[in-house]
Amino acid sequence: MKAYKRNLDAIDHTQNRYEDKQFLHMHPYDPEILETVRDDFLKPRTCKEFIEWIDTHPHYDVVAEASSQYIRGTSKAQAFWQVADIDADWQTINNDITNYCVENEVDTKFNTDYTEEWRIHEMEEQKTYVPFRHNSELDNQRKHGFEKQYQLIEVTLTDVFPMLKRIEKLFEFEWAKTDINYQPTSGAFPRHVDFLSTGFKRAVEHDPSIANARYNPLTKCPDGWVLKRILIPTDHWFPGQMFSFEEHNWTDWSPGQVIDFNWAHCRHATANTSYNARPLVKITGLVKEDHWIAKGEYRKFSI
Amino acid sequence: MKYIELKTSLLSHIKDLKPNDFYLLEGKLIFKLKSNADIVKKYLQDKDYKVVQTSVRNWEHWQGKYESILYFKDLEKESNG
Repeated sequence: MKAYKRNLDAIDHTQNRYEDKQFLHMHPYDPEILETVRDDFLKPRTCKEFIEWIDTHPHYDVVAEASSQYIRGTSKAQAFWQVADIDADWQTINNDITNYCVENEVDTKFNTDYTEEWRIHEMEEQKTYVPFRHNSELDNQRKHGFEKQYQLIEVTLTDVFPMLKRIEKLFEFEWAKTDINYQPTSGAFPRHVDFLSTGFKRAVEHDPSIANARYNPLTKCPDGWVLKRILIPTDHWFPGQMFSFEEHNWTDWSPGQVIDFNWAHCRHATANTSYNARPLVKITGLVKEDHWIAKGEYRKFSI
Repeated sequence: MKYIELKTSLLSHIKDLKPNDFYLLEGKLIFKLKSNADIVKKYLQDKDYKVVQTSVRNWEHWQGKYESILYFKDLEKESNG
């Protein structure tokens, strides 16, 4: 099989800029439009066909909303759940993150703009980790006043956080990518669902068997694989820090808790109305269906 | 339970209910006609589901008009994984 390579230059992003109001959408979304887009989303596609479809879709934000099959009333246990505990020197890890943020003015220069501006690393350093943040999604969020969301410190691209890379390896994800999702005071990221596209796209580009696998629009994963994103706080919860999954809330977290969640269907949102920054390690990758985390098992780790 | 599974089930069990009679909006079922919402509500309640019914705020930017919303209070026994 021949490797699939996306032609990023062929994507026309101009129609997504928020200067062009024609392509922005009012909330709440029109239910009939959502149903039409959902029907399109459910059409059979291979993974590479799906990536091309969504990459060039001018209304990413509508596709994302339509991709959720969540039914209100679903239990908390189906929204998010703890999969592991990691015993580590979290105080040192958290101090390293805090110092990095001070040095890089992460808190003081806090404004979530286009990808080349809101990530800590320059785009040139991200050649094999093309960030996926479709402009139509960001445009709509900014249009509604969400201009300070969070900052992404891309652990995978640095040698600054060796302990976090050790933690990443505990989970044996393929196509793993680890970031610190660092939300300074006053940050708010509006409710959304994910596609976990950054790692998924790398897998599609480098593994022809995944590129040609069927994309399952209900799991939002390649057939035979499970896309996973786990969240690990490096600091204790502070009053005013919020993390919601639809009608359920995660609170009072502790360093080393590992949370898995229904990223594909549960609208999730964060806000930091405390006076302490809120760092979370976020590890994303692919596992096979027989991986312990895909089976919903729980593990304890010590490093 | 996923929306598509719920919709398929409702359409197969409730005579005269059509795909375009209701949609999904932020986890809730939104109906064009209250009479259809009433029928679906009764069907679900007969199956022991806790269902809440509300009126609809129709927005100017929507193409259609809607009369009723249904949502569940407890789907503990179901899976949405």
